[in-house]
Amino acid sequence: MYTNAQYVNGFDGKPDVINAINGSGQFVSIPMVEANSDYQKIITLVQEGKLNIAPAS
Amino acid sequence: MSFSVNGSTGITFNDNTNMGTAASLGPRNRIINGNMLIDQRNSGASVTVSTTGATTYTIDRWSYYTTQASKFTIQQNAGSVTPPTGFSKYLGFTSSSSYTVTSTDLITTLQWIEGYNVADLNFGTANAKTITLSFWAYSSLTGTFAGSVIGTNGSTFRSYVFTFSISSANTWTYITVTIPGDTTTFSYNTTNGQGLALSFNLGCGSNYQTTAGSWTSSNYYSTSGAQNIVSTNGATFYITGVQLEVGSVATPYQFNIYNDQLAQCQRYCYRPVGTDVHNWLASSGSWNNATNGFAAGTFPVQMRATPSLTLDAAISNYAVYTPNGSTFTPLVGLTVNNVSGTYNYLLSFSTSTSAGTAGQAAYICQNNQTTYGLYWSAEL
Repeated sequence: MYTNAQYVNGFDGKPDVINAINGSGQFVSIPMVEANSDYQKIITLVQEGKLNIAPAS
Repeated sequence: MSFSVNGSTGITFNDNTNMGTAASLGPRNRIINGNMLIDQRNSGASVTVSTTGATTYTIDRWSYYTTQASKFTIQQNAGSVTPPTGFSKYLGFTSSSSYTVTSTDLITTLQWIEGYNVADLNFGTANAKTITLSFWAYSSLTGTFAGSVIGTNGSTFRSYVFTFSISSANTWTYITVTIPGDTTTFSYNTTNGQGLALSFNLGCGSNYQTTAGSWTSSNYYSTSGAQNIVSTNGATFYITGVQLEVGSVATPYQFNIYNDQLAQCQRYCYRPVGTDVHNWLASSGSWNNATNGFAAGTFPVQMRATPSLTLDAAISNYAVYTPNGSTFTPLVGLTVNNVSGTYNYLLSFSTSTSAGTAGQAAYICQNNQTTYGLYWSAEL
Protein backbone atom coordinates (compact mmCIF):
# COMPACT_ATOMS: atom_id res chain seq x y z
CA MET A 1 0.00 0.00 0.00
CA TYR A 2 3.06 2.28 0.13
CA THR A 3 5.68 2.74 -2.57
CA ASN A 4 8.64 5.04 -3.22
CA ALA A 5 9.43 5.26 0.49
CA GLN A 6 12.38 7.39 1.54
CA TYR A 7 13.77 8.53 4.87
CA VAL A 8 14.00 12.25 5.62
CA ASN A 9 16.58 13.54 8.04
CA GLY A 10 15.66 15.86 10.88
CA PHE A 11 17.59 18.75 12.38
CA ASP A 12 19.93 16.29 14.05
CA GLY A 13 20.84 14.73 10.73
CA LYS A 14 19.15 11.45 11.61
CA PRO A 15 16.10 10.02 9.79
CA ASP A 16 12.86 10.70 11.64
CA VAL A 17 10.30 11.04 8.85
CA ILE A 18 9.42 8.72 5.96
CA ASN A 19 8.00 10.12 2.74
CA ALA A 20 6.08 7.70 0.53
CA ILE A 21 3.24 7.30 -1.96
CA ASN A 22 0.12 5.66 -0.58
CA GLY A 23 -2.26 3.24 -2.29
CA SER A 24 -4.28 6.12 -3.70
CA GLY A 25 -1.21 7.63 -5.33
CA GLN A 26 -1.00 10.47 -2.83
CA PHE A 27 2.18 11.79 -1.28
CA VAL A 28 2.37 11.03 2.45
CA SER A 29 4.87 12.36 4.97
CA ILE A 30 4.95 10.07 7.99
CA PRO A 31 6.68 10.86 11.28
CA MET A 32 8.57 7.92 12.73
CA VAL A 33 6.42 7.80 15.84
CA GLU A 34 5.26 4.47 17.20
CA ALA A 35 1.69 5.64 17.85
CA ASN A 36 1.27 6.76 14.25
CA SER A 37 -0.68 4.00 12.48
CA ASP A 38 0.83 4.86 9.08
CA TYR A 39 4.29 4.33 10.56
CA GLN A 40 3.12 1.04 12.06
CA LYS A 41 1.97 -0.09 8.60
CA ILE A 42 5.28 0.96 7.05
CA ILE A 43 7.20 -1.06 9.63
CA THR A 44 4.99 -4.09 9.03
CA LEU A 45 5.58 -3.88 5.28
CA VAL A 46 9.32 -3.62 5.80
CA GLN A 47 9.31 -6.60 8.18
CA GLU A 48 7.32 -8.63 5.64
CA GLY A 49 9.86 -7.75 2.95
CA LYS A 50 7.25 -5.88 0.92
CA LEU A 51 8.80 -2.42 1.14
CA ASN A 52 12.29 -0.98 1.07
CA ILE A 53 12.97 2.49 2.35
CA ALA A 54 15.57 4.48 0.47
CA PRO A 55 18.16 6.44 2.45
CA ALA A 56 17.72 10.15 2.93
CA SER A 57 19.03 12.21 0.07
CA MET B 1 -44.95 14.45 30.57
CA SER B 2 -45.30 11.12 32.32
CA PHE B 3 -42.83 8.35 32.80
CA SER B 4 -42.51 4.92 34.31
CA VAL B 5 -39.64 3.49 36.28
CA ASN B 6 -38.60 -0.12 35.99
CA GLY B 7 -35.80 -1.74 37.94
CA SER B 8 -34.47 -3.48 34.84
CA THR B 9 -35.05 -1.12 31.97
CA GLY B 10 -34.78 2.21 33.75
CA ILE B 11 -36.96 5.23 33.03
CA THR B 12 -39.38 5.12 30.10
CA PHE B 13 -41.02 8.37 29.04
CA ASN B 14 -44.42 8.73 27.41
CA ASP B 15 -42.85 9.05 23.97
CA ASN B 16 -41.29 5.60 24.56
CA THR B 17 -37.77 6.97 24.82
CA ASN B 18 -35.76 5.35 27.53
CA MET B 19 -32.94 6.14 29.90
CA GLY B 20 -31.54 2.88 31.13
CA THR B 21 -28.77 4.02 33.43
CA ALA B 22 -27.42 7.12 35.08
CA ALA B 23 -24.70 7.13 32.47
CA SER B 24 -27.31 7.60 29.76
CA LEU B 25 -28.09 11.06 31.12
CA GLY B 26 -24.82 12.41 29.76
CA PRO B 27 -22.60 11.82 26.73
CA ARG B 28 -22.79 8.11 26.14
CA ASN B 29 -22.07 7.24 22.54
CA ARG B 30 -18.61 5.74 22.12
CA ILE B 31 -18.95 5.92 18.34
CA ILE B 32 -17.80 9.17 16.76
CA ASN B 33 -19.70 10.48 13.73
CA GLY B 34 -22.33 7.78 14.17
CA ASN B 35 -24.81 9.92 12.24
CA MET B 36 -22.35 10.04 9.33
CA LEU B 37 -22.43 13.83 9.15
CA ILE B 38 -18.72 14.63 8.82
CA ASP B 39 -16.91 13.70 5.60
CA GLN B 40 -13.71 15.74 5.54
CA ARG B 41 -11.85 13.58 3.04
CA ASN B 42 -14.44 13.17 0.30
CA SER B 43 -17.04 15.89 0.95
CA GLY B 44 -19.84 13.54 -0.02
CA ALA B 45 -18.19 12.22 -3.18
CA SER B 46 -18.28 8.54 -4.10
CA VAL B 47 -15.20 6.43 -3.41
CA THR B 48 -14.13 3.13 -4.93
CA VAL B 49 -11.29 1.50 -3.04
CA SER B 50 -8.70 -0.28 -5.15
CA THR B 51 -6.17 -0.77 -2.37
CA THR B 52 -6.41 -4.25 -0.89
CA GLY B 53 -5.17 -5.62 2.40
CA ALA B 54 -5.21 -2.22 4.02
CA THR B 55 -7.55 0.17 5.73
CA THR B 56 -8.99 3.08 3.77
CA TYR B 57 -10.95 5.81 5.52
CA THR B 58 -14.21 6.87 3.92
CA ILE B 59 -16.30 9.34 5.89
CA ASP B 60 -14.77 10.50 9.15
CA ARG B 61 -13.84 7.77 11.62
CA TRP B 62 -15.26 5.01 9.40
CA SER B 63 -12.81 2.81 7.59
CA TYR B 64 -13.15 0.18 4.91
CA TYR B 65 -11.01 -2.93 4.66
CA THR B 66 -11.05 -5.20 1.67
CA THR B 67 -9.11 -8.11 0.26
CA GLN B 68 -10.64 -7.50 -3.18
CA ALA B 69 -10.27 -4.34 -5.23
CA SER B 70 -13.17 -2.18 -6.33
CA LYS B 71 -16.04 -4.30 -5.02
CA PHE B 72 -18.08 -1.40 -3.63
CA THR B 73 -18.76 2.22 -4.24
CA ILE B 74 -18.92 4.02 -0.92
CA GLN B 75 -20.58 7.35 -0.40
CA GLN B 76 -22.25 9.56 2.13
CA ASN B 77 -25.96 9.43 1.21
CA ALA B 78 -25.41 6.96 -1.62
CA GLY B 79 -28.59 6.43 -3.61
CA SER B 80 -30.16 9.56 -2.14
CA VAL B 81 -32.84 7.79 -0.11
CA THR B 82 -34.59 9.62 2.70
CA PRO B 83 -32.68 9.02 5.95
CA PRO B 84 -34.50 7.94 9.10
CA THR B 85 -36.40 10.70 10.90
CA GLY B 86 -33.99 13.01 12.67
CA PHE B 87 -31.00 12.14 10.50
CA SER B 88 -29.69 13.88 7.40
CA LYS B 89 -26.80 11.62 6.44
CA TYR B 90 -25.98 7.95 6.18
CA LEU B 91 -23.05 5.86 4.99
CA GLY B 92 -23.88 3.83 1.92
CA PHE B 93 -22.28 0.84 0.19
CA THR B 94 -23.28 -0.36 -3.26
CA SER B 95 -21.95 -3.65 -4.58
CA SER B 96 -20.21 -3.27 -7.94
CA SER B 97 -20.51 -6.92 -9.01
CA SER B 98 -21.71 -10.34 -7.89
CA TYR B 99 -18.57 -11.68 -6.29
CA THR B 100 -18.45 -15.02 -4.47
CA VAL B 101 -16.15 -14.74 -1.49
CA THR B 102 -13.37 -17.22 -0.86
CA SER B 103 -12.36 -18.45 2.59
CA THR B 104 -9.71 -15.75 2.97
CA ASP B 105 -11.81 -12.79 1.85
CA LEU B 106 -12.70 -10.01 4.21
CA ILE B 107 -14.65 -6.91 3.22
CA THR B 108 -15.93 -4.81 6.06
CA THR B 109 -16.56 -1.31 7.29
CA LEU B 110 -15.50 -0.54 10.81
CA GLN B 111 -14.73 2.10 13.35
CA TRP B 112 -11.91 1.68 15.84
CA ILE B 113 -12.68 3.40 19.13
CA GLU B 114 -9.69 4.85 20.94
CA GLY B 115 -8.74 2.96 24.10
CA TYR B 116 -9.31 5.99 26.31
CA ASN B 117 -12.97 6.00 25.25
CA VAL B 118 -13.67 2.41 26.27
CA ALA B 119 -11.37 2.07 29.28
CA ASP B 120 -14.31 2.32 31.68
CA LEU B 121 -15.94 -0.77 30.17
CA ASN B 122 -13.44 -2.92 32.10
CA PHE B 123 -13.32 -5.44 29.28
CA GLY B 124 -10.97 -8.31 29.96
CA THR B 125 -11.85 -8.32 33.65
CA ALA B 126 -14.54 -9.84 35.85
CA ASN B 127 -16.14 -6.39 36.05
CA ALA B 128 -16.70 -5.99 32.32
CA LYS B 129 -19.82 -3.96 31.56
CA THR B 130 -22.64 -4.88 29.24
CA ILE B 131 -22.85 -2.67 26.17
CA THR B 132 -25.68 -1.99 23.74
CA LEU B 133 -25.36 -1.18 20.09
CA SER B 134 -28.12 0.57 18.19
CA PHE B 135 -28.31 1.77 14.59
CA TRP B 136 -30.52 2.19 11.56
CA ALA B 137 -29.92 -0.18 8.64
CA TYR B 138 -31.29 -0.21 5.09
CA SER B 139 -30.58 -2.74 2.38
CA SER B 140 -31.89 -3.94 -0.95
CA LEU B 141 -31.41 -7.42 0.52
CA THR B 142 -33.31 -9.05 3.36
CA GLY B 143 -32.38 -11.72 5.83
CA THR B 144 -29.72 -12.08 8.47
CA PHE B 145 -26.78 -9.68 8.47
CA ALA B 146 -23.72 -9.72 10.72
CA GLY B 147 -21.26 -7.48 12.45
CA SER B 148 -18.80 -7.77 15.28
CA VAL B 149 -17.15 -6.00 18.16
CA ILE B 150 -13.40 -6.53 18.23
CA GLY B 151 -10.80 -5.71 20.83
CA THR B 152 -7.04 -5.93 20.81
CA ASN B 153 -4.05 -5.79 23.09
CA GLY B 154 -1.92 -4.65 20.17
CA SER B 155 -1.03 -8.08 18.88
CA THR B 156 -3.92 -10.49 19.44
CA PHE B 157 -7.66 -10.06 19.29
CA ARG B 158 -10.97 -10.82 20.96
CA SER B 159 -14.25 -10.61 19.10
CA TYR B 160 -17.98 -10.96 19.47
CA VAL B 161 -20.01 -11.59 16.33
CA PHE B 162 -23.62 -10.45 16.37
CA THR B 163 -26.42 -10.83 13.86
CA PHE B 164 -29.36 -8.65 12.99
CA SER B 165 -32.32 -9.04 10.70
CA ILE B 166 -33.71 -6.84 7.96
CA SER B 167 -37.08 -8.18 6.93
CA SER B 168 -38.21 -5.44 4.54
CA ALA B 169 -36.01 -4.47 1.61
CA ASN B 170 -35.30 -0.80 1.00
CA THR B 171 -36.75 0.19 4.34
CA TRP B 172 -34.93 1.68 7.29
CA THR B 173 -34.91 -0.79 10.19
CA TYR B 174 -33.90 0.15 13.72
CA ILE B 175 -31.59 -2.45 15.21
CA THR B 176 -30.52 -2.95 18.81
CA VAL B 177 -28.01 -5.51 20.00
CA THR B 178 -26.99 -6.03 23.62
CA ILE B 179 -23.54 -7.52 24.13
CA PRO B 180 -22.23 -8.86 27.43
CA GLY B 181 -18.90 -7.49 28.55
CA ASP B 182 -15.90 -9.67 27.87
CA THR B 183 -14.90 -11.16 31.23
CA THR B 184 -12.12 -13.34 29.86
CA THR B 185 -8.77 -12.10 31.10
CA PHE B 186 -7.25 -10.02 28.30
CA SER B 187 -5.28 -6.78 28.23
CA TYR B 188 -7.54 -4.52 26.20
CA ASN B 189 -5.84 -1.33 25.11
CA THR B 190 -7.07 1.51 27.30
CA THR B 191 -4.90 4.42 26.15
CA ASN B 192 -4.52 6.18 22.80
CA GLY B 193 -4.28 3.04 20.67
CA GLN B 194 -6.96 0.79 19.24
CA GLY B 195 -9.50 -0.02 21.95
CA LEU B 196 -12.63 -1.60 20.49
CA ALA B 197 -13.79 -1.81 16.89
CA LEU B 198 -17.33 -2.00 15.65
CA SER B 199 -17.54 -3.79 12.32
CA PHE B 200 -20.30 -4.40 9.79
CA ASN B 201 -19.79 -7.31 7.41
CA LEU B 202 -19.97 -6.65 3.68
CA GLY B 203 -18.34 -9.87 2.47
CA CYS B 204 -16.53 -12.41 4.57
CA GLY B 205 -15.04 -15.86 3.98
CA SER B 206 -15.08 -18.79 6.37
CA ASN B 207 -11.69 -17.89 7.88
CA TYR B 208 -13.34 -14.85 9.46
CA GLN B 209 -16.60 -16.49 10.49
CA THR B 210 -17.52 -17.93 13.87
CA THR B 211 -20.60 -18.67 15.92
CA ALA B 212 -22.50 -15.52 16.81
CA GLY B 213 -23.37 -14.51 20.34
CA SER B 214 -20.26 -15.17 22.40
CA TRP B 215 -16.80 -13.73 22.93
CA THR B 216 -13.99 -15.63 21.31
CA SER B 217 -10.27 -15.33 20.66
CA SER B 218 -9.07 -13.94 17.34
CA ASN B 219 -10.76 -11.45 15.05
CA TYR B 220 -14.01 -12.60 13.50
CA TYR B 221 -16.40 -10.50 11.48
CA SER B 222 -19.38 -12.62 10.54
CA THR B 223 -21.10 -15.96 10.90
CA SER B 224 -22.02 -18.68 8.45
CA GLY B 225 -25.23 -17.94 6.62
CA ALA B 226 -25.17 -14.17 7.09
CA GLN B 227 -25.61 -11.97 4.05
CA ASN B 228 -22.51 -11.17 2.04
CA ILE B 229 -23.60 -7.99 0.30
CA VAL B 230 -20.69 -8.23 -2.13
CA SER B 231 -22.29 -11.35 -3.65
CA THR B 232 -25.14 -9.44 -5.27
CA ASN B 233 -24.49 -6.95 -8.04
CA GLY B 234 -26.07 -3.61 -7.19
CA ALA B 235 -26.97 -4.63 -3.64
CA THR B 236 -27.03 -1.76 -1.18
CA PHE B 237 -26.29 -1.48 2.51
CA TYR B 238 -26.78 1.81 4.34
CA ILE B 239 -26.30 2.63 8.01
CA THR B 240 -26.68 5.64 10.26
CA GLY B 241 -27.43 6.56 13.87
CA VAL B 242 -24.80 4.16 15.12
CA GLN B 243 -24.48 4.26 18.88
CA LEU B 244 -22.53 2.05 21.27
CA GLU B 245 -23.21 2.68 24.94
CA VAL B 246 -22.89 1.16 28.37
CA GLY B 247 -25.89 -0.77 29.66
CA SER B 248 -28.48 -3.16 28.37
CA VAL B 249 -30.88 -0.58 26.95
CA ALA B 250 -30.56 1.37 23.72
CA THR B 251 -31.21 5.04 24.40
CA PRO B 252 -32.07 7.59 21.70
CA TYR B 253 -29.19 8.59 19.47
CA GLN B 254 -26.99 11.18 21.14
CA PHE B 255 -26.83 14.08 18.72
CA ASN B 256 -23.93 16.48 19.17
CA ILE B 257 -23.50 20.14 18.39
CA TYR B 258 -21.91 20.20 14.92
CA ASN B 259 -18.65 21.81 15.97
CA ASP B 260 -18.29 19.39 18.87
CA GLN B 261 -18.66 16.46 16.50
CA LEU B 262 -16.23 18.01 14.02
CA ALA B 263 -13.70 18.46 16.82
CA GLN B 264 -14.12 14.83 17.84
CA CYS B 265 -13.32 13.83 14.26
CA GLN B 266 -10.38 16.22 14.04
CA ARG B 267 -8.55 14.35 16.78
CA TYR B 268 -8.05 11.71 14.07
CA CYS B 269 -8.22 13.65 10.81
CA TYR B 270 -7.87 17.35 10.09
CA ARG B 271 -8.28 18.52 6.51
CA PRO B 272 -8.00 22.21 5.78
CA VAL B 273 -9.17 23.09 2.28
CA GLY B 274 -10.66 26.36 1.17
CA THR B 275 -12.73 27.98 -1.51
CA ASP B 276 -10.19 30.61 -2.43
CA VAL B 277 -7.67 29.72 -5.13
CA HIS B 278 -4.88 30.57 -2.72
CA ASN B 279 -6.54 29.41 0.46
CA TRP B 280 -4.13 29.36 3.35
CA LEU B 281 -3.22 25.80 4.43
CA ALA B 282 -0.59 26.30 7.08
CA SER B 283 0.13 29.00 9.61
CA SER B 284 3.03 31.39 9.64
CA GLY B 285 6.33 30.45 8.10
CA SER B 286 9.57 31.90 6.93
CA TRP B 287 12.24 31.29 4.34
CA ASN B 288 15.41 29.58 5.51
CA ASN B 289 17.21 30.36 2.26
CA ALA B 290 16.25 31.06 -1.35
CA THR B 291 14.53 27.72 -1.96
CA ASN B 292 13.69 26.27 1.47
CA GLY B 293 11.76 27.26 4.54
CA PHE B 294 9.50 26.25 7.38
CA ALA B 295 5.81 26.79 8.16
CA ALA B 296 4.30 26.12 11.58
CA GLY B 297 0.79 25.82 12.89
CA THR B 298 -1.51 24.52 15.58
CA PHE B 299 -4.07 21.76 15.19
CA PRO B 300 -7.67 22.64 16.12
CA VAL B 301 -7.63 19.93 18.80
CA GLN B 302 -4.90 17.75 20.20
CA MET B 303 -4.47 14.89 17.80
CA ARG B 304 -4.38 11.29 18.95
CA ALA B 305 -0.76 10.86 17.84
CA THR B 306 1.74 12.88 15.86
CA PRO B 307 -0.09 12.84 12.52
CA SER B 308 0.96 12.03 8.99
CA LEU B 309 0.56 14.64 6.30
CA THR B 310 -1.15 13.59 3.07
CA LEU B 311 -1.47 15.77 -0.02
CA ASP B 312 -4.75 15.45 -1.90
CA ALA B 313 -3.00 15.93 -5.22
CA ALA B 314 0.36 16.53 -6.88
CA ILE B 315 2.72 18.92 -5.14
CA SER B 316 2.28 21.42 -7.99
CA ASN B 317 -1.18 22.17 -6.58
CA TYR B 318 0.44 23.84 -3.58
CA ALA B 319 2.44 27.04 -3.37
CA VAL B 320 4.32 29.26 -0.98
CA TYR B 321 3.26 32.89 -0.78
CA THR B 322 5.88 35.50 -0.08
CA PRO B 323 4.14 38.69 1.10
CA ASN B 324 7.00 41.09 0.42
CA GLY B 325 7.00 40.34 -3.26
CA SER B 326 3.37 39.19 -3.40
CA THR B 327 4.45 36.09 -5.27
CA PHE B 328 3.06 32.58 -5.34
CA THR B 329 5.74 30.00 -6.06
CA PRO B 330 4.77 26.36 -6.72
CA LEU B 331 6.24 23.90 -4.25
CA VAL B 332 8.36 20.90 -5.13
CA GLY B 333 8.52 19.57 -1.59
CA LEU B 334 6.37 19.67 1.55
CA THR B 335 7.34 17.40 4.42
CA VAL B 336 6.52 16.92 8.07
CA ASN B 337 9.35 18.04 10.28
CA ASN B 338 10.39 15.87 13.19
CA VAL B 339 9.61 18.49 15.82
CA SER B 340 5.90 18.24 15.01
CA GLY B 341 3.71 16.82 17.75
CA THR B 342 0.09 16.26 18.66
CA TYR B 343 -0.65 19.96 19.31
CA ASN B 344 1.50 21.72 16.72
CA TYR B 345 3.24 21.04 13.47
CA LEU B 346 6.24 22.24 11.55
CA LEU B 347 6.46 21.75 7.80
CA SER B 348 9.56 21.94 5.66
CA PHE B 349 8.88 23.33 2.20
CA SER B 350 11.01 23.72 -0.88
CA THR B 351 10.81 25.30 -4.32
CA SER B 352 12.80 24.63 -7.46
CA THR B 353 13.46 28.29 -8.16
CA SER B 354 14.83 30.97 -5.89
CA ALA B 355 11.80 32.72 -4.44
CA GLY B 356 12.69 34.01 -1.01
CA THR B 357 15.42 35.26 1.26
CA ALA B 358 16.35 34.02 4.70
CA GLY B 359 13.98 35.36 7.35
CA GLN B 360 11.37 36.54 4.87
CA ALA B 361 7.77 35.64 5.76
CA ALA B 362 6.04 32.84 3.88
CA TYR B 363 2.88 30.78 4.04
CA ILE B 364 1.68 27.58 2.43
CA CYS B 365 -1.44 27.81 0.29
CA GLN B 366 -3.37 26.23 -2.55
CA ASN B 367 -1.88 27.00 -5.94
CA ASN B 368 -4.63 28.45 -8.14
CA GLN B 369 -7.15 25.74 -7.31
CA THR B 370 -9.99 25.22 -4.87
CA THR B 371 -10.25 21.44 -4.92
CA TYR B 372 -7.15 20.06 -3.28
CA GLY B 373 -6.14 20.61 0.31
CA LEU B 374 -4.06 18.48 2.55
CA TYR B 375 -4.97 16.37 5.49
CA TRP B 376 -3.41 15.36 8.72
CA SER B 377 -4.13 11.83 9.87
CA ALA B 378 -3.75 10.26 13.29
CA GLU B 379 -6.25 7.50 12.67
CA LEU B 380 -6.23 4.28 14.62
